[in-house]
Amino acid sequence: MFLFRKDKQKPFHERMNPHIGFLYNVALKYSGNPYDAEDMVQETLFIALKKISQLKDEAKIKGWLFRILRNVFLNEIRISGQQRRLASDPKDDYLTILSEASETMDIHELMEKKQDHLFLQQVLDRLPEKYKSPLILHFMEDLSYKEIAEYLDLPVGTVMSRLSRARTVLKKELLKSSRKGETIGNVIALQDFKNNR
Amino acid sequence: MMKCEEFKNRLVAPDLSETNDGHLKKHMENCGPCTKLYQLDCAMEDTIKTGFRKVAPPETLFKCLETDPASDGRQRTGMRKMTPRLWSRLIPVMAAAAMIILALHSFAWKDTGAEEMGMLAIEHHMNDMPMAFRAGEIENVPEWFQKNAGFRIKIPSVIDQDFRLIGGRKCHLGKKNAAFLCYEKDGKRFSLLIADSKDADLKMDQNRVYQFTNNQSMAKLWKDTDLLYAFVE
Repeated sequence: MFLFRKDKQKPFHERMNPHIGFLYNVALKYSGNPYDAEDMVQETLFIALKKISQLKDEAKIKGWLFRILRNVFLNEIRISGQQRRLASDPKDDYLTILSEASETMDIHELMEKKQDHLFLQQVLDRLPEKYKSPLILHFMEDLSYKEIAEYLDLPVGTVMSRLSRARTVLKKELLKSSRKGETIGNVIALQDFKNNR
Repeated sequence: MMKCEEFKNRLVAPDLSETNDGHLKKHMENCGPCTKLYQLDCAMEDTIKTGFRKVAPPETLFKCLETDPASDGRQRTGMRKMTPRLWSRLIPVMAAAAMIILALHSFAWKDTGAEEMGMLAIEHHMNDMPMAFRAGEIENVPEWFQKNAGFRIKIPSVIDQDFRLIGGRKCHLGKKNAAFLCYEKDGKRFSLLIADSKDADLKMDQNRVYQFTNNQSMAKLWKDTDLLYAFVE
């Protein structure tokens, strides 16, 4: 019923349907758990429903939805006070660890070994949003630097440097965990209130 | 000919363009250690890509979109403010009807929901109302509420040693009593509202935390055995 708008040809749900998967996966990477991800997507859809008349170019609907979702996430960070900062430039650290690892580790064994995805999410959770967003768009959506820059409303150079720094952090942490042989498989699937505060 | 140091720097350079990649490959033809570095870096890159593999979204998201995302969201989360335009026109009428019903039948806590509990918690949190007791004035907080509110509270594990109790008081949810406690941690104020779940008719799962946002404050609600909690920060 309310899903139909007078000014657009397609009903709202038909316009949103192709992007649910995208939104959910981005929300999942942002929040780290399926429950919050669902909530975030629902909130995004609700805001989209209210503001759909502001969308001038239908071809840009995906980026528009992404920006809403990102704002929902940023708002939650603001409310919960979960601001993250990157401790230092990870480039030097990564090169050192990479050099050390290349001397001690067997590449073939490493490539066969499955990394724990939950560990990746944990590292991702520790990243500030400004690094997390380009990573998600690059690795999950395979977007180009230019497209990411448009989605995030940033200069291409900024996207490139943030992406480089973020992927270096991820690689460094993954490499460290591979060397230690550690796997963190006990990440709480349900929202652990205490840890999420 | 590129030196190993330059190779390493290019490996972590922001833009691995085709030209850059070509230089790297050329260097690797004659350098075993750098080849290993490159392979290791690629292995990490692949691991990240795998970690970002997409998953199928839950069917509920599609269903709520096909039917009514607003009402479905409300039912599932119990507290998201999702009011579609058509409903908003009915709200004044419904509110008036609700007022009449409430006037005729003094409502019980059973008639209230998670939203009301969240709203009440936030209201008490925002309004600096006087406490019935201050920290240190009573020895046993659960016993005080047993005596004054008619039910025994249990302080949840989320209130750890870092939280400093400021004070507490009894408050009302409908006709039933609830416990209100105020804490301080790292210079911030936190509020905890506790009600007996037997008095409420809330469909809340034991293992879920529900969020309710109002006036830029967020209440987190959850159920633990016989008690309902609303925590505001």
